[in-house]
Amino acid sequence: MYSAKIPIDQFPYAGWVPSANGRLSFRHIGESKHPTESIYANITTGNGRLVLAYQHRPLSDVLFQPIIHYLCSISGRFWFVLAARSDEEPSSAEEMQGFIGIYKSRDDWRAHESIVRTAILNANSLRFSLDVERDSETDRIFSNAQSHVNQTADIRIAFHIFRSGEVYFSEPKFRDSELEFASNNYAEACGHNFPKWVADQSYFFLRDITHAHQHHVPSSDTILILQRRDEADTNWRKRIIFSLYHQVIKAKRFGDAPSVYQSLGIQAYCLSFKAICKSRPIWKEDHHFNDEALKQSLEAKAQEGLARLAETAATSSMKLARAANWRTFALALVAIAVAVLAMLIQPRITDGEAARFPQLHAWSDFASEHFDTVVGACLIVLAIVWTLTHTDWVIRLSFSRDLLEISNIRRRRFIGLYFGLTIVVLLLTLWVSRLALFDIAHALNDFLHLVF
Amino acid sequence: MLFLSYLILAGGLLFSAALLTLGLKLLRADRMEGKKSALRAPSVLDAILGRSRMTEDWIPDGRVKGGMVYNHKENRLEISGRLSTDSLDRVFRQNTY
Repeated sequence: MYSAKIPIDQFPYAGWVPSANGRLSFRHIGESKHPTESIYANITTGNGRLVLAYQHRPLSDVLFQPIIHYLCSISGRFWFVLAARSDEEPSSAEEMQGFIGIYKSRDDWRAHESIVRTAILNANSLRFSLDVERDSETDRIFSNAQSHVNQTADIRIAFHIFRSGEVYFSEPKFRDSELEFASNNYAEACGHNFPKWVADQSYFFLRDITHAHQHHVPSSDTILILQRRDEADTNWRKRIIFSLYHQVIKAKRFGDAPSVYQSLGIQAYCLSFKAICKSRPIWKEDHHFNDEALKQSLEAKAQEGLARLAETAATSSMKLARAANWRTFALALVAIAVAVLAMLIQPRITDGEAARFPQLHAWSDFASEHFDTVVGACLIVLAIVWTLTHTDWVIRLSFSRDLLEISNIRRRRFIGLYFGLTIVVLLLTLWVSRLALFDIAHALNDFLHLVF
Repeated sequence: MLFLSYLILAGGLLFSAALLTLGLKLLRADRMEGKKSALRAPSVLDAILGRSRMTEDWIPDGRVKGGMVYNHKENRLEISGRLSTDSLDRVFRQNTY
């Protein structure tokens, strides 16, 4: 049994890297694009597999980051390095062990980046080498880099990962005791357990570079966290199962088809983990979940949502297409009529014909006098209509997302504030740009004189 | 001068339209999801400083994503948190898929 090999006092945290088939591919460890592209070497030798990888992880959750980071003198850029190896023949290896090194700032990482990067490049260059020294050379490069990170990283945390996806983490070790003391103190004052938090961050990193997030957005990292181990080795497993079911129910309640499909995917992970647990001799399932019924319910709900969506979309597009056809036809007719009229009237708008067609001349004068005003006013109207109808920017831009997040905390006040500000800005704009408004009013006045 | 006046008119009207859009988005937000999410940050300032709280429990709070910042002045690491992408999208009814 895996957990029996891992002493609980040295590795007090346990977790699971989700895999639907219940058997992780060690070959893909190191390959990740979230949150940034990782740099890695994952190489097999005659003695086993070696993985050396690093990734830049922007971990700050501060809003309006450039401003607040500068004002509060904080940074959220961390560099995580992973060094792991298995000492068995790759196809039969059941376990990899190693450690994760964390560099807390760009300054800390800058001095060591070239050493780790060069080691990765050199290891990768030996991948297809036929040299008899290839394995020993790869091993030497790996050991040097491992030893360097071990000595220089701000935080180190050891781990074991198994084919089943079960992971065991040690307590984090800090290189700088003052950093450890200050961080722990601050976290305790805020009611947090800092070593567990750092272990969780290391777990998120390992999970990101070990598996691809299939059934949720990659930034939703807190669906699963590390659990404190127990002697019986069962409680942490139950908690992972509960966490997965919690997420299934949460996403299901949202009700739209993508969320329900997301639930189905997470339920598949849950079934996979339960199967892994069942293969452990001491496992005893206390709570029964009707997985088959839940799956049917989720599928039915997703199908219902999709059917409703398809029906609504088909009806709307049919109505829209019919209306659009008639509108296009009508617009084309009017445009042709106006064009023909303009073409026929054009020869009459000359100075010689002014006495015969005074009204026509008055319109011509109006158009030439107020050309800039009309074009400017039309462009402003277009820009406003575009802003009011194109609402996607509010939830796409990071600045407006930050605004929405803080506004949601005092929703009513912020609704009042936004509507109040709209009126104030509007009045202020009208006052400051009164020259343009008078220009438009003048043109409008001339237009009304012409019409009536 | 007239051109500048037109520019100010256009800018001001666009800014008003943007504020109106934000207000309307907030007005139409999912209230239930909004209330649950709002509970995570005690105040606006806490949210701005990334101090949205999650329960220190074994059940993970998927609503808040957990992060970390380094405070250069105090030489300490600080826990930070904010609403996860899909949680915020769900408040404002925007599906992430």
